[in-house]
Amino acid sequence: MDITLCRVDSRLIHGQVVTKWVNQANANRIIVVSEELEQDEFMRSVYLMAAPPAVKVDCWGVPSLVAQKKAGGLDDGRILLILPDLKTLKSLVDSGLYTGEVQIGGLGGGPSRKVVFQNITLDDADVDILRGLEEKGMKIYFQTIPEDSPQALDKIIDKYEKE
Amino acid sequence: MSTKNKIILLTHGGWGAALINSMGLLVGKPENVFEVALEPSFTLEQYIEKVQGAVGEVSNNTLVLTDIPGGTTSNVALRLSRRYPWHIISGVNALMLVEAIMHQEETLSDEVLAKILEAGQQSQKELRVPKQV
Repeated sequence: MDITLCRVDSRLIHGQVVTKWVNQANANRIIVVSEELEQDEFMRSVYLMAAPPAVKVDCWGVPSLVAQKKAGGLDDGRILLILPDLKTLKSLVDSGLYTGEVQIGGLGGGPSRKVVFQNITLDDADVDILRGLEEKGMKIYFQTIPEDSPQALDKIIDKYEKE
Repeated sequence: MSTKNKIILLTHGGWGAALINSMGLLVGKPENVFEVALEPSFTLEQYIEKVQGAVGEVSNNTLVLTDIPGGTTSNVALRLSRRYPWHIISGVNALMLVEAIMHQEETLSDEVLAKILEAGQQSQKELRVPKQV
């Protein structure tokens, strides 16, 4: 299983991903980790259309992803993994499927969420998840587009606490 | 109540508003043409809500013009097409908007859509003065 980039972005497949990250990561395949999309054919089509023509797109929730791994469905391609939120990331890590580097690229606003970098916001639940993953030894950084310098997790958490 | 069909622009950061105002100089003050801007801070849900709140009545003569195919603007237009019977064209530019406004009182048939799309495409070329002999 060749995951060239694992990105958390609540907008899933969109401008920044399509124009920058697919190329930067040299990916030829996108997997969106989402049970909602897995079950919704209409929505899946929307995101399939959003991806560049040569890139294969699959949408699977974590349980199906685990099943796919067993069945060899993740063996092909250089994969850009996209997750909508940190809850999904935790689920992915807990399943044992992936414990590599994670890029946090976009998490939108809402009540009790604080801006920590560009268009990325966090709340208490998010910070708990991030701390837990950090303890597991995972490398997590924040970066919206390749032109931005990646921001380290501890720096971001400090910023969150200070707000 | 306007007899002109609705034209909605969806762009990142709201550059469409300037486009609409500027094209007014070519085709007269636009009527029933407006934008719903996607701000960088918006979540998907916030933008969907904003669009739904702004569009009002939608018919199958309603045209949505988005900036980037595959971008959140286009994704949201497509998502909402499950609910709204509108037509969507991506890659909006000046002459595409002008063409759309010129057909605003006609039914948005496949032919009219093709004309609008083509107007945008035909306007894109490299400009160069041929070498003088």
